[in-house]
Amino acid sequence: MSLYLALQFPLLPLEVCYSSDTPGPAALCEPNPPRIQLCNQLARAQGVEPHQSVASALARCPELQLCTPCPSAADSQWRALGLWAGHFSARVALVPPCGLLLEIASMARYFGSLEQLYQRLMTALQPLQFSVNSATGPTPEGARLLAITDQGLCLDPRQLRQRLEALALHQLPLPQRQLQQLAGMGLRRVGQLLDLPRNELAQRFGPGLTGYLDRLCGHQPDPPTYLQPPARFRRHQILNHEVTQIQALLFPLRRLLAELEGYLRQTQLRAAELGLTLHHRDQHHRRLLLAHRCGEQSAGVWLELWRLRLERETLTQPVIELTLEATRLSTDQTGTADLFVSPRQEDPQLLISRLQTRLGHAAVQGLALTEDHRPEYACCQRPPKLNRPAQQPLAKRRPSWLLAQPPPLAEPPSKLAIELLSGPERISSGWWQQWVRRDYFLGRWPDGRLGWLFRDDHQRWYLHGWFG
Amino acid sequence: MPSPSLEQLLRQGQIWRGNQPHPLPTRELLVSGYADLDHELGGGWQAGNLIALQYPGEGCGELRLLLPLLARLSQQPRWILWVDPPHTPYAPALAAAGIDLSRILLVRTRNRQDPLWVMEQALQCGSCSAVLGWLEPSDGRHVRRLQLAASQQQTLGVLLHQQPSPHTSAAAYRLQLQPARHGSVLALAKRRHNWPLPERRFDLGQHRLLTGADACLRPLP
Repeated sequence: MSLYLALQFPLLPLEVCYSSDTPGPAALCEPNPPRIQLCNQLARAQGVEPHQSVASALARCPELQLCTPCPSAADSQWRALGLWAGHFSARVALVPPCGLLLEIASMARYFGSLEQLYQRLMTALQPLQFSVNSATGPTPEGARLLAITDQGLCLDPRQLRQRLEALALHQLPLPQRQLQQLAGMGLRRVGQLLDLPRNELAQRFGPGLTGYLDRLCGHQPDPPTYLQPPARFRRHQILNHEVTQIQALLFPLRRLLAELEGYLRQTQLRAAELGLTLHHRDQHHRRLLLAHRCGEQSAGVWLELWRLRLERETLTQPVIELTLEATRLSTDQTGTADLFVSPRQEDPQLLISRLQTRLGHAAVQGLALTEDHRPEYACCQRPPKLNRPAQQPLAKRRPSWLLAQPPPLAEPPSKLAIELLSGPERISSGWWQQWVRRDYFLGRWPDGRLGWLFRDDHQRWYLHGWFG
Repeated sequence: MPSPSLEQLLRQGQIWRGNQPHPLPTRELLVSGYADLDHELGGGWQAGNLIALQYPGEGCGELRLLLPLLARLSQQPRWILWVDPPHTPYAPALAAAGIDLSRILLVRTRNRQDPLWVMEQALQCGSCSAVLGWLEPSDGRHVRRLQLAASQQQTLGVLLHQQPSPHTSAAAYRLQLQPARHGSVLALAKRRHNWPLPERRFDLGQHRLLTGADACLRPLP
């Protein structure tokens, strides 16, 4: 049996226009004629209602913030929420206006139970700060209808029928004329309509009404058209106010990263590199790149990395728009799973990403051996990689510190009271590039420290390392 | 007859009896690799702590003290982080000491705050087995933060510095190392569950270094 979860975002066109995180009374107003289209709970509490004229709304609530509708922003936010929902189900459908439908029966096992899935989803929605109504139901139309009245969990057809029967007739999404006709017949509740024989209803109202009722109750299959995730993730966000503090970008970024996580979970990809473009006025923009070593899905991890990355930047002019895109995706599913020592330990690669984000890419290096007899070429630094233990070649006695620029000794060791304890070890190699011909000694300094000295062809002495 | 709560504190290792040092360790013991030193430490360093090691200059055994321990830690699939070492740690010597080089991570920082930040992150995250940092602990609060960060995980922190540290330090171990003609002189100014140890000579692998396979001293030409 399938089960659908319907989410309705009734205030989405208004909420994308909010200019602060804690909005006061606000309303969306149509310009021509100036009427209220949508208003939030705070405005409603002061007597503002949809279809009211702007003048009377302002008379009731002088501090009402009026927003101009921006259909494109609301639309792209709605689609982005569809991607976000990929976090919870691979089958997400967009249901206009501003609604989503998720098939969740198949995901219940993954999340433990339907109740847990529902709770997780509701908790994850909270930080996005959108008003939402939700309901589940065994049919898509049923879940949608119950979501309009925010009915919560409804699991089987019997429960659905009970709840539908209690709904008022005018809540059905039917043409206005049909609703009036039904009301004229004396029907008040959906239950009364469902009890009527279907054939007579079809004769009087045409197949549209009975088809809808059959889909509502599950007598007729009604597979939704699921959203196909795009091949690339690119999300543009117009900020509703100019951002001058770089830290203030983290708030809109959190929402974008949550959408990215949904997208990545649905497509089973990891983002290895993200690009964030900060748009300024006059077409200027600045692009920041941020990489994670083996790819990451979690919005929390990315947000932390962006926080570190943005700390290094200062804004010279205000930002008005943001674009977040996944510039490099990786399909690597296994990742570093075998390196987990215990489940509560975090991914070892994350530490490197974090350090590189703050200190720069070259600041973090690994160490490796190279096959060269010349001491200064026998050791190299390379990008760190935590691989399986390699067979280590047996090395001769070498100092644990090597000086990058061997300082010359002012006088031969004997005059400096440096006691030579072993040597000479002749190292002669590299005629093809930089010829080295040296005699190496282990010397004890008067204070007891142990150093590695060499004497070159010209009988000059140098210190090359310390036996630390 | 001690009260039960006192007994509990003793068992948790929060207090120890002066005449009975080394109670049962409450954390994993990391063997230093030198029997005489391990004896003084009560079996080894306790993981999740910070060691503050003061030494006058490179070449007096500061790495030999740690190498056997690092070799054993490098068997874990976790990083061994080196923050701002004074010179390049020389890979052939580390490999000869048995350290798996793929675990080594070198970090270079450019300002005064970054090394502390790096050490704190690395100690907290749990994906490092040891974190070695070369920085002068000018502020006792920094040391306390690092000791706190280390205690959250089974990570050993080592703070190496050349200036003498202030008398009070939050690090669980405080060591002073001096070079000597034979071996090194080590003073344990502070250690876990025992009295301070005055200066004592430890070999720290010097004998083996000087008498290794190719250590024969030939007359100078």
